Amino acid sequence: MILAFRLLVLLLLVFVMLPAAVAIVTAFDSRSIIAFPPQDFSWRWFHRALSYEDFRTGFANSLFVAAVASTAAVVIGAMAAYAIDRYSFRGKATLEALLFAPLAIPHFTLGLGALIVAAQLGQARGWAVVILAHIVLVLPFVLRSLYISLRNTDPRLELVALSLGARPGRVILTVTLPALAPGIAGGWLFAAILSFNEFTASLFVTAQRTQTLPVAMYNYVREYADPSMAAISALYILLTTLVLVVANRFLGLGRVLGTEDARH
Amino acid sequence: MHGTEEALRLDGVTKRFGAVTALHEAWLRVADGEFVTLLGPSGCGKTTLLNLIAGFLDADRGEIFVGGRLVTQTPVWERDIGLVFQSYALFPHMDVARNIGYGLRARGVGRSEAQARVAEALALVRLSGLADRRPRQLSGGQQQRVALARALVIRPRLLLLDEPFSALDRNLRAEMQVELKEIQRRLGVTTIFVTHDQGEAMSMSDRVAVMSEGRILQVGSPEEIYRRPAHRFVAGFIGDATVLPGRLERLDGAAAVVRAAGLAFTVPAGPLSGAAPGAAVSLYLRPEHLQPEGEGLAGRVVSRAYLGDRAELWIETKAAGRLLLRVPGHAALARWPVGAAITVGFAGAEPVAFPD
Repeated sequence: MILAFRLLVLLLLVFVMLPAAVAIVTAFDSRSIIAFPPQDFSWRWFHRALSYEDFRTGFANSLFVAAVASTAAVVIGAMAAYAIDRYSFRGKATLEALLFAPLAIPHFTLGLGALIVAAQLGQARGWAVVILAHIVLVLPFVLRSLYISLRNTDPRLELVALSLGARPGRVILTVTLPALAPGIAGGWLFAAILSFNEFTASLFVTAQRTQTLPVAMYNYVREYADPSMAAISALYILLTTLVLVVANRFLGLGRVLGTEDARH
Repeated sequence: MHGTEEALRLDGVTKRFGAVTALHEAWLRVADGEFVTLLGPSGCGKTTLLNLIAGFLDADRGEIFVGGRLVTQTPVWERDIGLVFQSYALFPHMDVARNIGYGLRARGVGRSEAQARVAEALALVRLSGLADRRPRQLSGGQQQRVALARALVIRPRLLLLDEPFSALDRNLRAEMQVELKEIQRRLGVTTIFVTHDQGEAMSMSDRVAVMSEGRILQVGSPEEIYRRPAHRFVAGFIGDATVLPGRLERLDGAAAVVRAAGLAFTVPAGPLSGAAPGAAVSLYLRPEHLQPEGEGLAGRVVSRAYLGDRAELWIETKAAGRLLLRVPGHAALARWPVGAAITVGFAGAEPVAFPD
């Protein structure tokens, strides 16, 4: 029984990992076509991927957009989540619904809408529209992460701090923010990974100058069919894995993803 | 030992939430060093009153004075109040010493003085070896001690305790009650204690304010509220009582005579003032004041609960229905099994009566 269960888990893992594994293995082929299985071993396409100018700028752009968008989303999300969780006010339900709405809207629609609005404002295809679109897309995930931290934090912590003579500003810095730190860190990380991988909306709102790595990869694939795509995919997977391993080491993945109680 | 200075004064403090009046004109004076308990069932307004004193809520009417200073409009952080919650509310990201020192840092107390005071507070609650622990590494009782030390280290004008022992198991609770009372007496800190547990209120308090439905019904020593309840809610809420229907026979200065179950009882006249002779009243009898002998009502034991040192007998009588009687445990086992005949005597009773 246990053996059968283990086998099932193993099969599921193989199923999930297979496409990634195939892509990674293909990246080491020296031939100029994407083919499986590879015939020999070579770093050729990794060199190509790392030296290709569009990938280099795309990578830098993606890092920049992910950092700015997730930081902004965390600041906005923390304030909104705090207000929604701790206070009752008019339009609270509406605000909550609005903030979670991007989950239900296709990224394609969001990208197109952002592009049209930006064009109307004469801001088409600048950094601002890319970053704004990404903020909207990652906000629901940031909010969820912060909600979990807030629910696991006793509001009386702040009351006690106030009674001990701390002014509200000091209470926020010394009690509220540290108590929410796991949610903030987890939300930021989640947002950064999502933003870094986002393609559909980015395709609409980026220009040559602002194109992110996934968009650069898409453009490359339209012209070439060599394994450098597989190589960059492998690098992508490696980087994301590294980030998650580091996050798990310092934060605990369960806490970051909200599958585990943040108090323990 | 209590000073004459007033540590807390409430002048007609009223709080409404929408259409609901959570607190109805609370008047209370607490002397310096006094231990006063706000006692009542959940929803009686005791927590609302505590939040008003702490400054977490704004009063709709009335004034609050702490140490003679008007604080009705003063923000929480300037009220000079130590607070302990049932949930402890320790800062999870700080060790024990930093938790306790929080109020000192907020007040800008110098580092060396703060260290000395934290050490002193740790010794006070007997946790000196645990300064470096995180809250989650402590037991419930230890966490409660840290919370108490954190509230006391700032030398507050007023210590507010909101059901601080409700989360502890029974033995630990009794131990913490004794310890808190000892610390409170030693430091002489004026304490407002909120609880729904009458045993806790009776054993620890100098005075108890009994609350119900947003009103303070009676403020008095534990003995006063037990032996001379001023309100029928107080008589029913504090301790056990057998209630007999009766009629007021006459009012006679400080005493009144009530006839119930065919017998005449002398009761304090206070709660009956305004009632006319012949009016229907309820007579409250304490079980330990009734005796299983002497002149009284004949009945039969219908239920017996043996509690070790004592036993509770329910006696079915023809004249007065069911009476609760408390007798020494060993005597109950030997003499009054269920079904035994028994006579309930009222010689030592100190009944009170309230108009219906």
